[in-house]
Amino acid sequence: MLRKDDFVLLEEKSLSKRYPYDTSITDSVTHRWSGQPFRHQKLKTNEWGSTEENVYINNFKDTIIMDRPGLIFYGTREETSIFNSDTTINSFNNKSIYLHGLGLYQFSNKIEGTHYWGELVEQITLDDFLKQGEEPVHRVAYIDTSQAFDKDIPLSLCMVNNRMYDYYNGSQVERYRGGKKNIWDITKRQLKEEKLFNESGYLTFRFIVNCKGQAGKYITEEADLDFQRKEFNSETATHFYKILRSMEDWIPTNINGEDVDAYFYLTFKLKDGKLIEILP
Amino acid sequence: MTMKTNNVFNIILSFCLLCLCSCETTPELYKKEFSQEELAKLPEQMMEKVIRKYGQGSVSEIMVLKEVEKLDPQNATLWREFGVPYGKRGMAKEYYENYGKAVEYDPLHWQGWRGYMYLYFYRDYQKALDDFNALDTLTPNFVDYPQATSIHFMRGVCHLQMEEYDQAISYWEKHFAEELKTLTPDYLDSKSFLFYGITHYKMGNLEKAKEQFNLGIEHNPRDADLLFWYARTAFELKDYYEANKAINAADKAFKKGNFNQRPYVEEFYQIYQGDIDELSDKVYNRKDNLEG
Repeated sequence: MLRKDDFVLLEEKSLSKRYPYDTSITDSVTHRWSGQPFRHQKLKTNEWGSTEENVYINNFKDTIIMDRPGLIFYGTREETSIFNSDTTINSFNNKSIYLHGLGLYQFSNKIEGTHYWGELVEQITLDDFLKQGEEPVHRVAYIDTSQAFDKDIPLSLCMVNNRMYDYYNGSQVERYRGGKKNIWDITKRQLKEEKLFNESGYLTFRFIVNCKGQAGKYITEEADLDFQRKEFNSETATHFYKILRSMEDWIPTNINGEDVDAYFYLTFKLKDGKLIEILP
Repeated sequence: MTMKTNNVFNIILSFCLLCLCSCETTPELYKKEFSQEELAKLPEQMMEKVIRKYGQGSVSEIMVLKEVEKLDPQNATLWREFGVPYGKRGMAKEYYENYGKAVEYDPLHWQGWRGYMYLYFYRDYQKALDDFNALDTLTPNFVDYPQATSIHFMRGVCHLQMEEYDQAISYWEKHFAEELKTLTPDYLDSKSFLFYGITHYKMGNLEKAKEQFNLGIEHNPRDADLLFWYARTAFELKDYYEANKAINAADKAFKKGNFNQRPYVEEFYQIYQGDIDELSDKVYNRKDNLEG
């Protein structure tokens, strides 16, 4: 809310849905303008680290939009993310428009020639927002580590650039030492066909290979050969899980010369109790 | 401590900024009014923004795609965009559900692409063929190139993998005839020669296989895969001198990175250093027969 007359510039709750924080609600903040540049600070934490956002406002102008008085603020927005011992700082040139009765109406951020902007399209009530937050949106192939086969075995993460990559983002040619040929060799050596119970379908294990090449947090995706959900015999799934655990030569995903954490997957394609393909 | 500036952001929602003000009285909730004309253009504008700016399968992308879905639930590109990251990340059921809607709403654009996905990502050759054949009925007398790959070539791969070698051969012939109408052999993908040769190899036509690999090598002299398969065929033909020469050349080419591979998935008949080493050992064991 904007009440220029008594110098309260900003008093808002801002709610956002963004990776990897899902739904977050920052504390209400109040600033009293004294004509001097000021700092508006937000701190967010999650399971892997924290992000501090500082908005430095240096100047402002009056405006009227849709018959509402408002102010245009000019300044910089600085995001400092801390994960493990790494700190990443992103600094934007920021312009924000606040309107009376609406709050933040428009923002514009520029960084290294790239321009991001946002405009208020729809307000919703806090109750509705929280209801949406009850079913958080995850990126495709997010792994809920609490559901993993090995949920109790720790796996350290580097979280370079605050993110989990995908196996195909990297520049490395091989994802496992010796390539798929080696994966086949390891699998064939340990495979017991009596554990396959005439099963058919795609038995996929998704997991994390961290920046050190250590694998863990295995979960399954199971579908029949017509891509419909199915449940494999638990002995079959456990058998392949054990084979997969014995694969210890994963090559970390490399982005611009730096090893990063990434989601990987391996699919065992079965037909009538025979292993016919290993994908991808 | 490292300090970096990173220009990759997948976190800012351009279209859906949710903001709630704490005021003394509850204000009427704001909703931007769009004209009919603006509304008609929005799905396309949003899809363009999604594809250019957000990481595939990211939360930001999903949220914008859900907005597009409200406005245009039969937008085929939307469903393709929903489905692809599942396909790339090993989630077969979700891939199929979403990508299937893209094909349902616009088969002309997406049926061939789904066939490509069945072929390379799921190794489901019959489903791939069904899609390629269905696409053909939509575009009679036209050779389609979904994902920049000739549909004849992909059908050749399907039949090769299904061990239907005669049908594979007939598609290699069609593929070569079609390509050579407008291109010289230099422009043909080396895999065309390779898979044609492998089909002959599987049929036991070793001389024809060797001929095809040799033709490929003429146009791609440092292709590790062609050299490897030439060596393997020469070895089978007990031509150990030729096999030795070719496997050494294959090894050099492989170490320089001149071998077939694909993003996301393994290439068909992809070779590894271990394959070259194994064949080298076999040839070496015949060293008494290496004189030319």
